[in-house]
Amino acid sequence: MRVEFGWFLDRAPWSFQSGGLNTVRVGRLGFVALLQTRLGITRPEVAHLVRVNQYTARLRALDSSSAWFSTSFAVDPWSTAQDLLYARDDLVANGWDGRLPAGHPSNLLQTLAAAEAVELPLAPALADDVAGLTAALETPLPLGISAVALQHPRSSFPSIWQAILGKLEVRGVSIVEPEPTAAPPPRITVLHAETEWEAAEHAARWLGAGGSGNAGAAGTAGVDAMAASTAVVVSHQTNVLDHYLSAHGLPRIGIGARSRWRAQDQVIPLFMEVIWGPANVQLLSEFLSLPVSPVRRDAGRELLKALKAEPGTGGEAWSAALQAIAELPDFDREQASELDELFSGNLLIEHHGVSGTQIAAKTEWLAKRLDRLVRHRPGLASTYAQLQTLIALISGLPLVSRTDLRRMISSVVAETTNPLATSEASDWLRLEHLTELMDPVDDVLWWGFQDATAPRTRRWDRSDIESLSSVGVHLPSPESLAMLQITQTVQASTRCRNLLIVQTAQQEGEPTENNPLLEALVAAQPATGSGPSLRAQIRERTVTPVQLVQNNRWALAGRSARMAPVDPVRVAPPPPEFELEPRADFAPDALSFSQLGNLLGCSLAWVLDKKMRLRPADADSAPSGNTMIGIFAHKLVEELHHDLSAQLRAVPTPEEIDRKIDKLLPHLASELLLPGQSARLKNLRAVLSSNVMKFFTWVSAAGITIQDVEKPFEKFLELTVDGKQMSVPVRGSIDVAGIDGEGRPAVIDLKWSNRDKYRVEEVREGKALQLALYQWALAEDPAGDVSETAPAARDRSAGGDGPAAYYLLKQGTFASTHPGLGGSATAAEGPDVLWDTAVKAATFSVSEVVQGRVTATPLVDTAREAAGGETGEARAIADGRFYGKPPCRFCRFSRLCGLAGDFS
Amino acid sequence: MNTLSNVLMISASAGTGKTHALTNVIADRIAGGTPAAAIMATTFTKKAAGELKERIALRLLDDQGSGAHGSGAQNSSEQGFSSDNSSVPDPLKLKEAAQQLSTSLIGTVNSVCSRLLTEYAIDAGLSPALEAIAEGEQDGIFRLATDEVLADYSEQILPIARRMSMVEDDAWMVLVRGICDAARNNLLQPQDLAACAKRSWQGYQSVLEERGTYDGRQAWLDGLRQALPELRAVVRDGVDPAGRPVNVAAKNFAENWPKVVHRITSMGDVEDVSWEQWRGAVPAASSKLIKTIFEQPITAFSEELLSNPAFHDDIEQFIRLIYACAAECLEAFERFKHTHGLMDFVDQETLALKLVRENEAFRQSFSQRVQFLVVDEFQDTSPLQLELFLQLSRLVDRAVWVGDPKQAIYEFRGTDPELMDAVVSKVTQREMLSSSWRSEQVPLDLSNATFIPLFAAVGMSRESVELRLPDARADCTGGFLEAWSRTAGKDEERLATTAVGVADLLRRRPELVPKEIAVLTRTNKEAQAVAAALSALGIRATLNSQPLLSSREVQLARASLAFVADARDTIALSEVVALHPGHRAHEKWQQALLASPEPAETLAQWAADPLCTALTELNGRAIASTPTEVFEEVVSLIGLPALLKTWSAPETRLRNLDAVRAEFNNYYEAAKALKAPATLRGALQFLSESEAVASDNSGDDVVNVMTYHKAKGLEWPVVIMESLDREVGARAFGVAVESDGEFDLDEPLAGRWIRFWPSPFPYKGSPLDAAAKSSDVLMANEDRERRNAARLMYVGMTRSINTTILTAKGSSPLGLNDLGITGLIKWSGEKHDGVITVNGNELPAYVQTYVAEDAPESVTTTSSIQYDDAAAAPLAGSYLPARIKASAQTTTNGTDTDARIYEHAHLGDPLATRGDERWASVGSAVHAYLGTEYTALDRAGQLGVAKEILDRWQVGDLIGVELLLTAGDRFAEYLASVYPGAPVLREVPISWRTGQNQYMEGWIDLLIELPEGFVLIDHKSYPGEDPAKHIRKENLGQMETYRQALLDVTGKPVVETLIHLPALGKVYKID
Ligand code: SF4
Repeated sequence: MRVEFGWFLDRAPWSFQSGGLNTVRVGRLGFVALLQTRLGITRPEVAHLVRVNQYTARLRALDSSSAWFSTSFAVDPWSTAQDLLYARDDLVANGWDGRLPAGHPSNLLQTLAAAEAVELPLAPALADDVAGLTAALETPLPLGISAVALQHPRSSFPSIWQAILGKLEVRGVSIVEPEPTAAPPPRITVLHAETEWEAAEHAARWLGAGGSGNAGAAGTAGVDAMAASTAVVVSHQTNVLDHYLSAHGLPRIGIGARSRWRAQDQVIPLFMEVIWGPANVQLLSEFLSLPVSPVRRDAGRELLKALKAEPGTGGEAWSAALQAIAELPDFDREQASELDELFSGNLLIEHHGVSGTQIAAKTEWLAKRLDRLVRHRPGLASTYAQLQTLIALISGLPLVSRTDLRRMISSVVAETTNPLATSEASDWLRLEHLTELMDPVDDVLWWGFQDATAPRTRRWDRSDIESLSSVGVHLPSPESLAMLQITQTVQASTRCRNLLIVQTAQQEGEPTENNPLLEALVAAQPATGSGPSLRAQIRERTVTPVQLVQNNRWALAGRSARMAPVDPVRVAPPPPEFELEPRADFAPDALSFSQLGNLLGCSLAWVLDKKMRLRPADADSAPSGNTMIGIFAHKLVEELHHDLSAQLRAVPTPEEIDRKIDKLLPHLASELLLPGQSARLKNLRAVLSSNVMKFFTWVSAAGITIQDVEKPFEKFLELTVDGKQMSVPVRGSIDVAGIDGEGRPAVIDLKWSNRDKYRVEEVREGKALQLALYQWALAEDPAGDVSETAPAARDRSAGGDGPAAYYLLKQGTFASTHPGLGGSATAAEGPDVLWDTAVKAATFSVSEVVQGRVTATPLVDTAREAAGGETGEARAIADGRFYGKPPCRFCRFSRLCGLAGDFS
Repeated sequence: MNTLSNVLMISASAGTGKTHALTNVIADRIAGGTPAAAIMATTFTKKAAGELKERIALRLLDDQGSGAHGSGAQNSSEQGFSSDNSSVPDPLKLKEAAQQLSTSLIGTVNSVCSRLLTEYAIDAGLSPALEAIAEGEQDGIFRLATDEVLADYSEQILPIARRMSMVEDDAWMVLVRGICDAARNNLLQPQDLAACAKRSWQGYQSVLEERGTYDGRQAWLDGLRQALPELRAVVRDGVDPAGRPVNVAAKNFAENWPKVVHRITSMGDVEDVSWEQWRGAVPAASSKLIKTIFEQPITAFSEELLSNPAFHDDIEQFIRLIYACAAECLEAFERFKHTHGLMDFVDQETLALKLVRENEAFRQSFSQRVQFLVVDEFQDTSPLQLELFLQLSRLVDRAVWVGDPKQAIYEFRGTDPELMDAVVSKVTQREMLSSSWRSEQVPLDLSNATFIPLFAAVGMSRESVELRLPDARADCTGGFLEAWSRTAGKDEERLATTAVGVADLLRRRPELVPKEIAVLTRTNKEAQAVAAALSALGIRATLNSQPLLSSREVQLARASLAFVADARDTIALSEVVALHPGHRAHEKWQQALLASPEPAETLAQWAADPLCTALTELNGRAIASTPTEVFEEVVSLIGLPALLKTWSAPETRLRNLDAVRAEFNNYYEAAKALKAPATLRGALQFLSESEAVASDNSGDDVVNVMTYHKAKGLEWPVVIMESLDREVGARAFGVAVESDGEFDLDEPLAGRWIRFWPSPFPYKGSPLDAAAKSSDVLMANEDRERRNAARLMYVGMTRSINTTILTAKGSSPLGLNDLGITGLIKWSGEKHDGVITVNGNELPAYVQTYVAEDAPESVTTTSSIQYDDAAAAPLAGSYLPARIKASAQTTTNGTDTDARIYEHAHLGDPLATRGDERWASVGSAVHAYLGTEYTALDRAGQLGVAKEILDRWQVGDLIGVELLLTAGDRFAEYLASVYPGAPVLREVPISWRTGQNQYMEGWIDLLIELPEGFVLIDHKSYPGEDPAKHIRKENLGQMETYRQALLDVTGKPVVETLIHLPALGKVYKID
């Protein structure tokens, strides 16, 4: 057998075009394995994990508080053991027998020697095998190797390998050193692209363009039509390149990156987060919306809906969702309550002390679900296996902290490559580094050049190096290995005629570093006209994508293709107004205050929402921040009121408020119970307690009796549209409805926002439409809900002059014209006038949409204003209409109407 | 002993070729024989580190090529110092040194620290796997770590914080964080903070009056409330208290009276009224009448505030509590990082420093290893880094610090120029670089005239400031100066007028390409305003102020990704339709949707478009992918890169896509730090909350717009200096690091403490502000600010190669004239007859006044043409997998299953029947034995090998050596009898490429080479009862593959295919 041996050949293919029998190309791993087979000294492979554990045990045996490694070992036993094991293997691989050399050995060396003497098992690894070879080569077993051809000079191998080669030679193997080649260096072209996409576009085109000058030769016929010898060196993942290759009808290279963030590898960590209390709503929605979730999709959707309504678990929305799930086909009450138990009812609480058995019991459900999923998705089998490993790890443990659990998970769930990434057959020679190029080829494309970095090796103290070498252990220096890589790269480059190096300026948004190999490669080139400086030489060989096309012909490193200029397209903003056929069906089926606001402010937004029913994703973020707190505060006031009214009291005690907050948090704002939120919660609690208290106190002091909180109402708004009478139900609920000392209805709307300024202004300017609407809703006596309103109120005309206020929960202030409610404001207009204008506005907007005129009103207004026309507000006022503020800030359609569009 | 005797400080003024000097210093050292691995160099940025490495390599390789030694071109001032060896170095050595460069410690301070900490982790008592928390995660982790401390303190602090007008509940936490950062950067311990609190309060008292005993707040409130009816009466009646008519509709009155009413009525309990509320109860701009009505309480407040006991208490308590809280936070932060195995950049430096200071083993190892230490941008090192460099410098033979004190502009990030000066003053070996390799004479004249006197005022010699043309550039005497006045009143308008000036400049000097021009501003906001104004004129700017998420390509990609994640997301679906011209419904989609009688159906049709079904289909594969991979796939599926070519600025847009991947990486980083999960949904959420801005524009047609800070280290032919009217605006309040006592080289950070003066009045104008005006602290701060501003302006003014353009509202830039020399700069004259007068020197300049109306119709700059393949893309081929693994091949075609498998030879009795679960190991052992050339050994030798094998495979308890020997003997006999004399090859490697370019590598157990072809033999340890069935199931494909491969590779057929079953003592044949 003929063996080619080189330091960088472990991943090199044995042959390229012709194939071969009884000849092999190996690096040190391969060579060791080969010799072991020949010498009958193969052995079972031991997982790295096992060896690290074994070494950990040895270190534990050595550990004492004064041990050099003790502190690190206490902090992170696994990594410490791994690090020291690497060091040990490095020495052993260079012939160390485990004994402490004389001199002044470092702590490290002393520790390694001590660990070698510990009588606990340590399975051998490659390092031990290398060391064993010198002895094993003494046996008379014929090796069956005729020659070993070295990739680089014998002297450039680490000394233990020189010894091994010596032994082989003694046994009759001829050791062939490489001839110093006179081969000329290749023509080098550096394509300097900005991004990976740009690089991929040109790299794929170049590969597609086949042999030199053969423009666009890549036909559907496949690879045969292409030039015979092209090598593709891949030093970076090829996802992006592969997409371009496919687009050119070329085979995919299929080198993926390793990552721990594959969805299937996140199932376990996610699950292990959501079974602990307090509930993490964000992670729970992620769990429920995984591409393949252990929770059935329809059930998950119900739960997601609940989380959106109430960002917590166990509340009303949650219960309703469980109810709905129980009624789903193929579901029953038991399965629904299983979900409840898992994610809400029976969460693990860390400070109660959680045992491994408890966690394992929880994971049974997941195991069951995964088992079922695996039948359709075999890819999930590895996830299932990981789960089994994890369960085995934790089952017996009496106490498992979340931190420990997370550590265990991250050791079980390791980085993986994409199981779906496919490497397709092509006639290119595929290499991972240019040093692997052993066969002559015409062209080489080097993809991901910037990632082809020098190997990192362990650095030893100079004194250790010296004392080790006195006992015959000669450690190769990092410098020599760095040099070897560079010289071998340069050497390998002479095996091709044309080297195209693809470089990107940035990678995943980060600027890339230059690769020193480039200077070395160019330095080996014969100088050209641009002067002696290497920088000029590099510049001369570098092209950027814009330089590649001339006269509609693309040319790069000897290949070319026909191109056509792309017509630029100006992307214009969408029209802000639409004229449709009359659309009677666009009449509102019903309106709430916020819908009315939308309708008046922007009929496009209203139509898209109400009529087109455009919806965000199920799992779109559950409310957080002020929205969440707003919902929470409303519920707080509501429930407090119910308790109070049952006891005929008006003002809660601070303790009552506190208790209520505690009760509601998990249901409505469980985010605030998570670690890292306690300061925020504390502040919020303080503000809520005092301002809710203030609210009840002030209301009561103002002589207002609260009758109802979240009081639902429905009242018909009579509009004359196009001369036709139309009656639109207005529905909603009034935050706080009551009655004042004079028997007038009182309405209070609760608000939570960072500033009170805008509400105060609204009231002062007589634009508090929401209050006016509630007053209107309560004023007349319709049938239905409002019938219990005090008779006195019924006599009043629309709007009435009963007290109305916003209560700003965060600030603890009222915005009101009513003196009893701190009403400093004097409204410019009374609520009646306001309501009139609102009705006019509603009439206008409804008749617009019914006539098929749908308008992004804010956009039309801004355009008119920009052209020097009047403002939307001025227009509305002139028409006697209420001006609906643009609802854009909270609008989900801003990218659709063009407001948030990019038309550059 | 002067511990800095081995240090050389190179002061490199702007444009004097600092990087060049740095490169030479190192390259010369290496050429002088110092190994590359013994070099350590730190730079300010990653980019600078990469550049430095590259330049050194180039220098070394150039030298080895030319055989020359020395830095050649520019300056060679430091050569004499660094070359210990004056003989001409061996070219081969230089080449080798260049190849070894990757082993040197060159990088940012953080990367070098992190490398040292990883290498010496166990010496430092750390986990060897420790990685630093990414920059973006630090805030979040600090909050998480200190949450409970903050919660504990909030009860006490929050009421005071509210009285201090901190509207946001967490505003005070920002202060705590600031103090923690300052403490960590200056090596202050938690227990040091109490003293800082004490000193802060002591100092603060100097601007207050003696603490009184009377708290007048209730009286102020009563006074305000009592006056209120009077105001209301005026409003109601339209006459003042004296009966004179009042115009209640007058603007000032009408605007302010409701404010006053609201402000006073919303005051509740005095404890809840902030100090600012008292001060601002009646707006300062109110009409005289209003002020008169409230005169009494206003005056009472002003007079009593500084002695008010509640005010005193608030300040004192606030200071005390904030420090106490900070001290506890520091501890909590440490604990948290310890339990979670985290560290941040400051920890890296602190730990590295600890190693250097305290760990003898490290000190020894390091000094064995590193001989030469170079610190770049020395002026930008933090106090902590400074101490680190001082310590490291003591361990090496030689240290070179390179920097320019005049360009120290990172004080806001915690550097301390004064501390730096103190250290540098102890360095005895110094060199100064003052030849400008950048600018021409005229811009140099301006910067010299400006900065020689300005820096002289802070004690810098003329020599250390003045920039001269080196001899090699003696002919670069040209250059231009301009001065632009923009009289517009409003800031934005003035900035917009600068854009007009740029347009005019491009018109006046047609040889200029936009990318040769830079506009520098003080703030990001100003830069954005300039960029926006330029783009309104049709001139693109580098600065892209729009959020990443609002760029069209990112919107489209995000929507597509969201649609992959959830096909029911109809908003995302509509966005895809709206943004992607390739969707069939793209044209007039709104009209189509709105006009649709059944929108749900229309949406369903949209989703059925091939573009969308491809996305839906991706969802199924997403389970095996990372969010980034799904994103990449989406980008490809919707053909985004090709689409971008039809849009404006495609290069920028591609970079934006890359920036999305960067955001995902940030998301993973955050998850990794806390060992939290990460998902596609989470990534989408993270992206939607991202505050990243879109990538900068680039190209020839783009004007550079950025802040002075970002301009550091860069240069352009034309530099327009904006924001020159901004005067020094120092305040006495806030957090600042102070130091007292004489500077001590052995303890450079001794005497440092943190001063914190809270400011209860966010809008100034209070009696406190008035009192603070004359405080020493304010004076000191003003001086400090002035020096900072001067350095920043120095950086700005030295960026230009050929033309410097000053701007101001009028004809003298207020800011430049506020740097210490009144009336330093002004200009006069007009157009080419103008003159800029600097400190009495008259410099000819083009002087112009611009107004917004001068805006040209439109300036259109051309952008590059984009190309795509002329031929339509060929259909995607369908390809086989790239590799074949012979043993994984199942039978390839039907005929194989017809293969005849039968017993061919009987070698003897079975050696074993049925195996247990360790049978596989037994099989391997047998295989191992048969794989050797055992026949060449004598019996003893064979026995030795067999024993070794049983040992290694740990199957000695299951089988004995005899089994191996017998199996071997029988088989050998068999071969010898059937194929006498034929060459036998064992464990034969074969590699093969199929006609379809599939590739295979494998080992054939045994080959016998006969003249007519090969006998292919495989050993199978199968011990069972139905070998034929087993072989049919397991081995047919493999054998078939080898057969084809052998034929293909050698041209010789396989004439016989045998399966040797040693356990059963049989040979089977496959026909
Ligand atoms: S963003 Fe504004 S203009 Fe656009 S649809 Fe929404 S509300 Fe209408």
